[in-house]
Amino acid sequence: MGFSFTLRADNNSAGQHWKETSSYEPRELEKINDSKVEELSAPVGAIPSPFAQFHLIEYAFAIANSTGVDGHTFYHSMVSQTLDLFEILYHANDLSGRGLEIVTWNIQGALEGLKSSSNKSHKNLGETLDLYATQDHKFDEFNDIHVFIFNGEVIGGTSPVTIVCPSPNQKHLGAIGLMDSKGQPYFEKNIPLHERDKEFQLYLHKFFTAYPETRNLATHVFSYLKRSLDLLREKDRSLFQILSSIAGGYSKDDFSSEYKTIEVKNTKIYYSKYNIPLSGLGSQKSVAEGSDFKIKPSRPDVAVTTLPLVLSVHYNGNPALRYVSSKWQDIHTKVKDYLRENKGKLSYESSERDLPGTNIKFSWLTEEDFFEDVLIRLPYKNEKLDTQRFFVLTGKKESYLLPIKLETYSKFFDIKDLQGALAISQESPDSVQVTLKIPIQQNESVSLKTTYHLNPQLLTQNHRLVTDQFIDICVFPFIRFQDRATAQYSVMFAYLTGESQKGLKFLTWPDSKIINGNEHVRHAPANDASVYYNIESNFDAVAFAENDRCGWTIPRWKPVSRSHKEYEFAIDFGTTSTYVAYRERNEHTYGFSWKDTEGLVANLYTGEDRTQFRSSFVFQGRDFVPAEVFEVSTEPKNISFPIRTALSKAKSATSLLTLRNANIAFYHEKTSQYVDEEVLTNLKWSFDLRTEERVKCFLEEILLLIRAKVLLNDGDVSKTRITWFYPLSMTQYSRGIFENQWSGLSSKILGISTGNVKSFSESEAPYYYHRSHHQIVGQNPVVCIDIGGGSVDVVVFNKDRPCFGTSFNFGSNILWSEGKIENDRRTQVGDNGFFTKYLKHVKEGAWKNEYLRDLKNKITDDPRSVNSIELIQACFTNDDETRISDQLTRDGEMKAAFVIYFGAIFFHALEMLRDEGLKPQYVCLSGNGSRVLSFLDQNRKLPGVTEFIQILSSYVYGSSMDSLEVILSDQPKQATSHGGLVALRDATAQVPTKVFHGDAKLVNVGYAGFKPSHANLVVNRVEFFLDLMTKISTKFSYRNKFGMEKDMKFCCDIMKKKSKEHLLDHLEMKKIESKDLDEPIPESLFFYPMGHGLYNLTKELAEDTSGR
Amino acid sequence: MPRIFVFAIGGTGARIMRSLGMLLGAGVKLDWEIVPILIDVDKTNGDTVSTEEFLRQYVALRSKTYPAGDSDIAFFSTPMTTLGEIAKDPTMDQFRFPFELTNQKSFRDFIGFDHLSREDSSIMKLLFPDSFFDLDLTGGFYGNPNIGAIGLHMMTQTPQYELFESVFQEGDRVFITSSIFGGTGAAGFPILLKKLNSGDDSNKIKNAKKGALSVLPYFNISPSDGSPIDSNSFMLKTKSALLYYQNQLQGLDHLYYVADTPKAAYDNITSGSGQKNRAHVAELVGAMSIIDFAQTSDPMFTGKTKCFEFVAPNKNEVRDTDIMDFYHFGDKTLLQIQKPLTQVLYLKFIMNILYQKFPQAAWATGLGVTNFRLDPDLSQLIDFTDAFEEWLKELEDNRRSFHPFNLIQLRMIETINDLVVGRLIVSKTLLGKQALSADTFLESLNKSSKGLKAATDGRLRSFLRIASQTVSQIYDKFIV
Repeated sequence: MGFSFTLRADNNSAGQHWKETSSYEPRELEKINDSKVEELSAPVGAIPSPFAQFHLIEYAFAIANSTGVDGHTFYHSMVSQTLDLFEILYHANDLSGRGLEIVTWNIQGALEGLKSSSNKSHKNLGETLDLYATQDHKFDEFNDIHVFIFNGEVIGGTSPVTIVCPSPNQKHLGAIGLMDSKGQPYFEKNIPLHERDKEFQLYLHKFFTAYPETRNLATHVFSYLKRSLDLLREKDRSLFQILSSIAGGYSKDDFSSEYKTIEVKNTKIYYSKYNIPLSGLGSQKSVAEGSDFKIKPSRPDVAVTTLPLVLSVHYNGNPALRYVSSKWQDIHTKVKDYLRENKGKLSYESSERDLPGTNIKFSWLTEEDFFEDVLIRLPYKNEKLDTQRFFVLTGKKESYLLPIKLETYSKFFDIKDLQGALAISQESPDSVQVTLKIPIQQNESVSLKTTYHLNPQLLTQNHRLVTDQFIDICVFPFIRFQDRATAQYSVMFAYLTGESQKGLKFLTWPDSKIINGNEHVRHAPANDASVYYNIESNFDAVAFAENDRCGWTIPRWKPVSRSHKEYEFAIDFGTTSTYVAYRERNEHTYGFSWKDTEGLVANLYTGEDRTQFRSSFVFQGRDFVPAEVFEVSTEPKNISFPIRTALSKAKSATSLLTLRNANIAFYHEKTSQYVDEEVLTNLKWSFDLRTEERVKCFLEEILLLIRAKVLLNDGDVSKTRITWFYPLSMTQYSRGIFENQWSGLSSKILGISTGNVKSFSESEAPYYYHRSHHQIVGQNPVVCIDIGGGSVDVVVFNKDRPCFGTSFNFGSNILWSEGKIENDRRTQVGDNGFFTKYLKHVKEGAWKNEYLRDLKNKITDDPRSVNSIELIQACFTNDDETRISDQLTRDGEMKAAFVIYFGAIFFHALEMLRDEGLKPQYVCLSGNGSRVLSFLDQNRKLPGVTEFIQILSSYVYGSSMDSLEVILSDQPKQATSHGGLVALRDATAQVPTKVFHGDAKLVNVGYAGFKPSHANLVVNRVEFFLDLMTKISTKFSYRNKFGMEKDMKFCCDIMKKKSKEHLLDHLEMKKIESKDLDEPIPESLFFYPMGHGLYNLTKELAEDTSGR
Repeated sequence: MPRIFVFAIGGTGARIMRSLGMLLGAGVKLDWEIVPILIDVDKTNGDTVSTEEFLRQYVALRSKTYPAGDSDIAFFSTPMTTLGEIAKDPTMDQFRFPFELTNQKSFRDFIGFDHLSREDSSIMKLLFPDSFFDLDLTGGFYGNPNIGAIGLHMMTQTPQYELFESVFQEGDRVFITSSIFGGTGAAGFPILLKKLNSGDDSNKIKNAKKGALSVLPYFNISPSDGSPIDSNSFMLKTKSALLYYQNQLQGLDHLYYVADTPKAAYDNITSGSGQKNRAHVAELVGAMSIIDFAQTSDPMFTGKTKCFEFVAPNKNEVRDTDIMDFYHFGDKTLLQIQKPLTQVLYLKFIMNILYQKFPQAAWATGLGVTNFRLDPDLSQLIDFTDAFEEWLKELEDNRRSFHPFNLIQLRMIETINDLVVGRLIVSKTLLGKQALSADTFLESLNKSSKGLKAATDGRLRSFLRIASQTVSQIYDKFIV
C-alpha cells in the first residue's frame, strides 16, 4: 500500500506526487499520535510567533475538545490553568487589595513606542511584534492586552484567542499562593470545568451568552464550554438544566448587574474592541456577606456589614450551610492549618485574615479568638463559691473562671448570653473540654471547642492548660448603678502570691472596654496578697489576669428594681464607738446592719469558713467590708454596731484612700493587727489636717455603706437623709469642720443637698428616743444626761422643748485615766487603779482572742506601751472572755469610784436645774458611759440608782423627790441615733448652753480672769458634794444597794486630797490649749478636781485591794 | 529569466536546498533562475556550510557549462545565482546571509528587557517563560521559534535583505523552506513571510507568488541530558505550529508539507559543525516541492493558500516501505527525478570506470584528455558526481532508506546493468534481450563525439555534451 509523507493519521495515499490537500485541521491534529507528550518535562514553545503562548493555549483547548475535556494530558493541564485564571478573574475584585495588579498593554501605542525607540533592540522587538500583531487577524479586534500580575509575578493575561491565557511559567504558578474556593492552590491540579464550582460554571456560561462576540474570538474555549455541558447531562442533571437554560436568554445587562467589572486605578477593564467587560464577583462582602457562617450577634447595635464568620474545625453540623462559594466540609481542615501558621499574628478585626480556602480577606473567628490558653481552676469546693452572684464554669467537683476572651465575645453578644453558651465536660481525668456555642445564620450555631489539660506532661505546644489559682474577688457594693455617672465600686482581690504580680481587670459592656481600676496593693507578703480597686463606672465582668493568663467571672447583678424608698440614717460618731441607726421614712428604726444575703459585698469565695484560702476572709474583715454586720449579736466574733471608732490604714500610706489603703477597723480589738497595719483611734477630738483626713475616711466609708444599703433595699439614694450628732461641749469651730465633712461627703457619695443633712446634739436626741418609747410622758422637766467616753452632755427639757444644756469633759474614760483624758499620749505613769488591776488580769489570762493575746505579749514586753483606756476598752470589747463587766460588778473594793463618779454628775445636773428653778420629773441616761451604771445596779430598772438619785436630789432641793424617775436606755449608745431619727421635729438650731460652776461669782469667768480666790469657791463645792456623799450613807446603804465594800468617808477623804492643786494644774493646762483666755471657761470647774480625785481614789483602792 | 528566490532557513532548509541542488545538477530543468538564500544564525552549522559549498560548486560548473544561455547539456540546466551577482556587487556574492545576532548573547539582552517599560516587560513575561530570558542566542534558538521570530527579524534588517528587495523583479517568485519543529527555520518562515507581505498593496514582493515548504518531523534526536532540544516535544511543537499556520499564515500561494514517520534518531547536537545530518528521502521529496512550485504556471494560483502533500503510491504493495526505491513513487515523480538521478550515476560511471578501462576509446581521444583529474574543470565535475553519490549513499543509509540504486554496482563494468534497483534491464531491440554493458556506453559515446569541437567548447563542455547524449539515450533505451 502506498503512503503519504504526512503526519495525518488517516494516511490517504490515493494519487501521487504532490497532491493538493487541506491544511492540518485541529480535528486531524488531534489524531496525530504524540504519546511522547506525556514524557515532556517542560512546556514547549513551538509556534513561530512571539505570541506563541496565546496560540499554544488555544491549541490546548482544541486538543481537549477533541480528546475529551476530562483528559489528563499536558494540554488539559494548560486548559485547567486557563480556567484557574478565569477563576482568579472571577474573584479579582477580592484580590485587588492583596497583590493583584493589572497592567494594560496598549497594542498600538506600545508598538509605536518600541518601533520609534533609539534602542536597536527595542526597535527590532517592536517591528517584530508589529508584523505579527498586524497580520494575525485576531489582533485586529483588540486595542489592549491586559497582563495580570500577582505579587510581582505575571500570572497571565488576556488573550485574543482564549480570552485569558496563563503565564508560561507553569511550574512557578503553583507557588504564588493563590487558593481556589476549596483551598487548593491554583495552577497545580488539573480540574476540568465541569468539576469546578457551580457558581463559576454559571459565570462562564453567562459570560459567553451575554457577549456572543466571545464565541468567535475564543472559538475553542466556547467549544470547550459546550463539551463540558454535554458531560453534565449525565453527571449532574440539575446543573445541566440550569446551565442550558442560560442560553435561553441572558443579556449584557443581566451580566453587568450580576457581576462587577474589574477596575484598576478606577479604570474598568474591557476585553476586545467590543468592550466586553472583564468582570467577576463583587467585592469580598458580596461573597462572604452571604455566608451562612456569619456570626449572628445578639447585640442589636453591631454593624451588620462588618460581621465576621465563625469557623471551627470541629463544625460538623448542617452540611447544607453555605460557606463562601462552597460547602464547609470541603474546606474545614484549612482553619487549623491557617491558624497554626499565623498563630497570634493576625487580628480577626482588621481583615488581615484570609478566609480559609479562599483569597478573600475577611474577618473570621475561631477557637483561637475566643478561648484563653489557660483555664483557671478555683480549687475550692463548689458550694463555697457564690455562684448566685458570680457566673463561673461549674464542673462536677470544681469550678473554673471563664476562659473566654470576653473583649471579643462581648462585641457581639450580651455577656449574659455566655451563661447559656458555655459548657464544660470532663474528657478524661486529665482534661476538660470547654464548648462555646456561637449563633450563626439560618438558626444554626457553631460550637467552638477546646480541651484544657491538667497534666503538664501531656502538654505540647498546641495544648491548653488548666491551672489552679487560690484567689478571691470581693465587690462592694454588689449592685449595678442605674445612674452610670454615680457608679463607684470598691473591689478587693486576694490571691496566693506566686512569682508574678496578679491583678484584676474589668470589662464594661456594651462598649467592651477594659478598665484597669485604680489599683492599690495593700498587702504583698510572701504568701498571700491583696489588692484593692476603685472603679468609677459600672462594669460587667471581672477578670483575673496574670501575664497572659486570664479568666473571667461575670457578676450576676441583682435585677434593678424601682428605687422608690426613702431612707433616713443617723450616725453617732463617738469618741470610743460609733453607732448608726436607720429607718425607711416613718417606719421603725433599726441598727445599721446587713446580711450577707443582702449583697452589700459579694465574694466569689464565700462564707466564714474559707479554709482553703483563709486570708481572703481575714483581708476582707481587716481591710474591707465585712460580709455581714449584725443588728444584734451575742456571738463575740460577729460584728455589730456600735463599733469601735477606729480606722485601719496601711502603714506605708501617706494619704488615705478609703477602702484602698484605709478603712473602718471593724475588727479592731477583736483580731490581731498586721505588721503593716496601723489602727488609729480617738478620731473625734483631736483636730489637725492629719486627723481630719482620718475622720473623712471613716465617715466616707460609713456613707458608702449607707449608699449600698439604700441601693440594695430599693432606696432612692438622692432622697436619703442623714443625721449626725455633736456633743454640746464641741466648739463652734470643731462643729464647723464636722458640718463641712458631713455635707461634703453626703453630697459626693449620696448626691444629696445640705437640706437632707442635719445635726443634733448628742444629748437631745435620746430624749426623743425615750419619748417615742413612752418612757417619758407629760410636760414636766426632763434632764437628759448622755455619758460618753469623753464628755458628758446634759440637756434639760421643759414642756417638751430643750431649754438649755451643759457639757463637761467627764466621760467614763476618766475612770480609767490619770485625772485627765489624754488617750494619745504615752506620758502617763500607768498607775490608775483599774489599769493596774486589769493589766495584771490581761497579763495572766490565757486568751483565745488574738487581740488579747497580742496585748498580753505587748504588756509582757513593756507595760508602758499600753495606754490605760485602750486596755480597758479592749477588755470591754472582749467582755465575753475578760468578763470585765462581771468583775467590776463584783469588785466591791473599787466600786466607790463608780458611785462617786455618778454622784458627781447627778449632783451637778440637779444643782444646775435647781439654779434654773426647774424640778425634774425624769433623769434620762444614755451614752456608752452610762453602761457603767449597770456595775452598780444589776436590776435593769435601776431601783438602787433611782433611790440614790432621789435621796441626792432631796438634799439638793431640800424636799422629797420620790416621784423622780430614772430612765436608762437598754442600749445606751443606740438611743442617740434612734432618737435622732424619731425626733418629731428638727433639732433645735442651738440649745443654749450654760456653764454652772456652783457659785454665782464664777459665772462667765474666763481663764484670764480666774483668781486664786475663785479656786476656793470650786474646792468648796467639791468638798460640799463629797460631804453630802458621806452624809447620804446614813440613809442609803452603799453596801446593800451597790455592793460597795469601802467606807464612803474613807473614799471621800482621799478625793479631797490636794483638790485645789489639782484644780489649778488642770486650769493651767486648759489655759495653754485655750485660744481666747477672756472667753468664759466653757465647762464646769467642778469636775477638774473631781477627775484627779478619782484617779487618786482608784490608785488607793487598788493598792488597798492588792495589799490585802 | 524570472527568478525564484529560495530562502532556505536553518539546517533543514539547507538540506532541502542541497537536495534541490542535486536534482538540478542532475538535470532537472526549471525555467527559472534559482537564487538560493541560506539563512542560519548558526554560522558553523554543518548542514549549511556543506550546502553552501555544494551550491558554489554548482554555480561554478553551471557557468562553465552554460557560458551563454541555453545548451543541450543535460546537467546544470537550471541557472542559479547569488544576490551579489545579480546586483553585480562582488561583496555580496554569497548564498548565505552573513547574519549574526549582533553580539548580545542572551535573549534578555537581545530584546533590551531590562530597559523595557513596565507594560512592555509585562507582556514579554506573559509571552515567554522566565527560563528563556537567559538563553544564549549565539547558538540559535534551541527549538524555540517564538524567540526565533524576534531574533530572525534581524535578518530583514541586513544589507543582503535590502539587496534582495532591490533586485526583486515583478514576476519573480519566492519560496521558503524550513522545518516546522526546529528553531531557526520554524521561526524564520513566518517572520520572513510576514515581512514579505508587509508592504503596501503595490509592493511587488507582497504581490509576488510565494511558495513554502514546511518540513514536519521526520527524524528523532537521541535523548541527551541537559540539551534544550527534546524530540519528545517535536510533535507537540509541530501540531501547535500547524494550528497556527492554519489560522495565521497568510499571503502564501502554495504550502507544501512533508513529514515522515521518524525511524532514525540523530545525534543530539544542537548547533555548530557537528550538526550535519544524513540526507533523507523527505528532503528529496521536499526539494521536489520547489520544482512543483516552479512548474506551476501563474494562472494556476488562486490567491488562496493551497496545501500539498506528497504521495508515494507504491504500486507494488509487497515491497517494504522502510526501504524505498524509485518504484514506490508514482509515475509523475519518476518522470521528474528518475532519469536525472540515473544519468548522473552513468556520468560518474563513464568518468570513473569506463574511461579508466578504455582510455583510448575514440570519444576520449577526441576530447584530448589523458587524465580527468588533471583537467581542473573535469576534476570539478568528478567532485560533483562524488558529492552526488555521497548524497545518495546518505539517503540509502538513512531510515527510512531511499535506495534506488545499487551503488556498489557502479564500481564494475560488468555490473552496471544492475544499477537501478527494481529495474531488470532488458534492451528493446528487435534482437532480443540485451544487457547494458561497456560496449553499450562506448558505442554511444563514440557516436556522440563525432563532430565534437573541443577547442571552441572547452573540454568540460564537450565532454558533458557527449555524455549527456549518451546517458540520455541509454536511460531512454534501457530504463524507461
